[in-house]
Amino acid sequence: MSEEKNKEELKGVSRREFLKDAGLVVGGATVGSLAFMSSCKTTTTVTNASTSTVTKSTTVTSPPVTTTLSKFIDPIDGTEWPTLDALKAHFAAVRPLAQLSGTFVDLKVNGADYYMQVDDMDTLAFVLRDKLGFFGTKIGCDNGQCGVCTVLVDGVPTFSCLILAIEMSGKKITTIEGLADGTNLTPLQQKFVNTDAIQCGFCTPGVLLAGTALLASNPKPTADDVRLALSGHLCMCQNMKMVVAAIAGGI
Amino acid sequence: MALPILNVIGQASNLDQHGKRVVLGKLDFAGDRLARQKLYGAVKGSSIAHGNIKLDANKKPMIDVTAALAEPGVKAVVTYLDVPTWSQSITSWGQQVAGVVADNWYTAVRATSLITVTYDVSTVVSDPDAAIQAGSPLSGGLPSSNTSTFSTVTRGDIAAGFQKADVTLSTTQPWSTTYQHNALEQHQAVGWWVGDDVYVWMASQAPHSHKTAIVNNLALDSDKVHFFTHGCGGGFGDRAGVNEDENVVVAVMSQKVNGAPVHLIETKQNHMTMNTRQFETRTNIKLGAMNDGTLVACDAQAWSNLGRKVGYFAADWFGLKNTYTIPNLNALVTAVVTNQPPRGAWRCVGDPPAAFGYDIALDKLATKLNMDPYKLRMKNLRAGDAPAQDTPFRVWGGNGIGLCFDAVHSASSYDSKWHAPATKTLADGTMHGIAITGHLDGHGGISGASRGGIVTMTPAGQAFINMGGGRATSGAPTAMVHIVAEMLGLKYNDVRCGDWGATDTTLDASVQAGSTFTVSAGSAFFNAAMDARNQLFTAVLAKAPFSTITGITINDLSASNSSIYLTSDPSKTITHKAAMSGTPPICGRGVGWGAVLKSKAVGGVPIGSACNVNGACASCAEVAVDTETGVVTILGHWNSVDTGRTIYKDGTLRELNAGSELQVSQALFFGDIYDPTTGACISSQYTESMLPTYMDIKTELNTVKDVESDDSAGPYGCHGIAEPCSSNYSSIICAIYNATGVWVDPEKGACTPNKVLKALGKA
Repeated sequence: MSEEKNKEELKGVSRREFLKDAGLVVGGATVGSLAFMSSCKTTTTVTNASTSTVTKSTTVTSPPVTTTLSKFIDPIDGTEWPTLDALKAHFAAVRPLAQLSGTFVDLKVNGADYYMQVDDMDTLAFVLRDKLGFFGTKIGCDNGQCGVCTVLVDGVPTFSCLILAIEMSGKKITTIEGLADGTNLTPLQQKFVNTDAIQCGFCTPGVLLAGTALLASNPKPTADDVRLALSGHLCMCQNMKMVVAAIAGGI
Repeated sequence: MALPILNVIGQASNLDQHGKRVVLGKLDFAGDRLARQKLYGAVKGSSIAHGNIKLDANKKPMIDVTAALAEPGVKAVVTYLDVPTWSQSITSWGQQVAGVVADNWYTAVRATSLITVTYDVSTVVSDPDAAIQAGSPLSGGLPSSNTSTFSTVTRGDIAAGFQKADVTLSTTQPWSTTYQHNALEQHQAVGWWVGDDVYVWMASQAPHSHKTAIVNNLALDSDKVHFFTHGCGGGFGDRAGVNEDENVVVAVMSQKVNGAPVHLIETKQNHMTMNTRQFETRTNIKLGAMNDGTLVACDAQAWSNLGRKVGYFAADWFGLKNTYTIPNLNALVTAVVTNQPPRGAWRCVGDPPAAFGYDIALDKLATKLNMDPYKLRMKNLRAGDAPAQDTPFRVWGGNGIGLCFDAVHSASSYDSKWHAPATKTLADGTMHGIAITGHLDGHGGISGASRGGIVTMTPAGQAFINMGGGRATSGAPTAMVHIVAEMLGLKYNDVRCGDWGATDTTLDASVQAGSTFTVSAGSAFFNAAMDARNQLFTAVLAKAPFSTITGITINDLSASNSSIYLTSDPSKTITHKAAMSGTPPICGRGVGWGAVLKSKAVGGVPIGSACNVNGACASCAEVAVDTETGVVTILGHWNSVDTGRTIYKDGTLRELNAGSELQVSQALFFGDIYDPTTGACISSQYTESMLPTYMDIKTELNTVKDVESDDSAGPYGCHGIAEPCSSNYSSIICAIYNATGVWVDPEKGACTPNKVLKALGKA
């Protein structure tokens, strides 16, 4: 190794590097959606219609959700209906003034299908948390600056606060709850526990998912590989040393 | 210092009791309550920094909520008339004035912008330099002044001291950096009512205090308020109940909608505008020394900007007067109240900004004396036990400071690297610099406040701890498990974190602050475990093999590795599991002890005497400064912290690493920006705050060391730690001076490249 290169590696904090790589913070390692940015700010009418959360023909292991074969459930009164048309007819009959608005999407989350209605302005983060109960997905800045809302979309780390749920129909979504087999941790999760690569834990789900994606494509990443992969993630406990060490070198 | 090896405490293989929960995404934070069928709350901040909400001719506040209420989906609006913790008087920009409850959070946020508030505007007093001038307009935080004397300490004869000095140095340090938490989890809470009972789930370091605030502000019976906290997403120091937190607000919002669950979420701008932040300090210091470097006099004055609230942390000269032996000393601290957000604890206690001032003064004095600054510090370092110097406070922990200095001095190979300022150029043309700083501070002190702990023995012979604190500083509950396991003689995995952060089922463990919790709540759990141990030992006296041995008492028994045995004959033993079989339930309760010498005399001062327990830390920074770009690169970074006794080994080292990285950010990145005219904080997003990312910290270059000095007041010799590597800020600044020979003025911001270039006369 040349002396120059060796010296470069010894350098630590560099504002020059920070400025150079600032663009990566938002867009480098994680996919966002400009569509959300505009639609969120220009939409002025928000429907207050009830949301139907209907699941279909799945085998759900974790987390526990309401799973019903060939039944459609009214989220307000809890009645079950064999078809979507029957549910709509019931809804219209008992609540003639309410409107079923929004869009039906088929979200494939952690191996389960969720056929459900969402408002057009609902972000994926909001739907995952407040409609499906996957609270492991956190919301921090809500505008793509911090990375705590990261989920895997078809294996790619994605800021779920910058993605609309209606864009996700048919996509394979993995949240932190979908990494482990029940309570059997993945090797990376176990390494995070064993090496104390957690502090307050708020950024941990997003970091774990980004690290999992990195290891899928690069089983033996260097510390710099890890830093690049996590460039869109903030840790304000600043427990970065343990996190980098846990992922670098692989499992 | 070699301390006896304990069975559980200090063992590096023990895991965070909540670790698995965290990596599974199951650690529940305040927002992780109730999917579906809840309403959402948002708050509106003041658009002025100083004034009052105007009243109309009928003495009604001029807050027009008509448009907000007309917005589809809006369910209710609240103002200061509804929320007892809000006020008509405005003393900082962004102060909460109104809130909206709606069926969608984005609707609630948008509706807050439809509320119009009319203000009587007063002069903004944002600049602390202006605030302390005679005749300055008042900021409104104090009745007749913007300043208040915070503390005064006098020692020896200051005039005689300076008369004796061969060399004097006077220096003024402008205001140090103001920085906020930049917490990832914004302020949020979920609240709902069931009949007359209110339930609130919120991120909190002090759940019992936040519960009490609801009780007092809403005039409720204590048993009607149920407060919970589990996860706490950063912002440690801001979650302790100093500010007008969202606990009362969410309870009022829910009350407005007939008790329906409301999830109140502050926008990131709301949060980062109004959360508490570290105070900044301006210092005037005059030092007198002999030619050999012996300090003989110090006259020091500091001003601390506390924002809009007086009474919380302000710079203290604790480190200056206690770290070094200065026989003649005057030290005055004045609090300044301005129309800026409130100051509070910032993951550390009050000394770092003051340390920043006096560390620079010491380095300047060393230059004047043509001395190595480290040798100047060592020459004047206090003795470990120095009761005469510590009056009126009985300082204990003083022996740790020398150990900390030694640790970083050795690890960094300082002696082979130090050089006179601006005399070493590296191969790439950058300038090399190195510096060591350190101090005793108020960290780690055992609290005089009442702390409680509950330990329950199960029929299976295991123990659960119920802790009335959150998981604010992550390893703190795990540290309590260590103490309980050690006292009960249980294996680490036979003690589990039971319920925590629930006011209905726990005792008040007071503020879960890393700087005090391990020792203060630790003493409560020490006593709770001892209570359980005494009950358990009493029970086993009636069981074989002890029942057949005459004349023994519980004092003849010992326990380890989940077995109880006769101390004089360890072959006579019974497992905890067998001991609990058929034994009635055991519940140990304990209250912590106060700040007294608990385990041994210090410097001739007897056990039982009042004392302060103090934290010690030292830091070495090695930097390269690019004099063409102003970029500062950390080449090496060594930190040591006196833990007294390290309870939870891995967690402690993690905390020290995190603190070390945080101080790099403090020195080179952080800094609030305020509009001087309006008082608005204009760095209220992460990108505006220039936060370091994973790309910016070469974590491998951080090295930390826990030093154990065997504290005399804490359980098992520990005292509290959080991220007390608080001398790093100073060491980085001093290292930049060693590299360049010029002092960078970090006024109101970190040492950015532009400020380095300015110091070099190039910008």
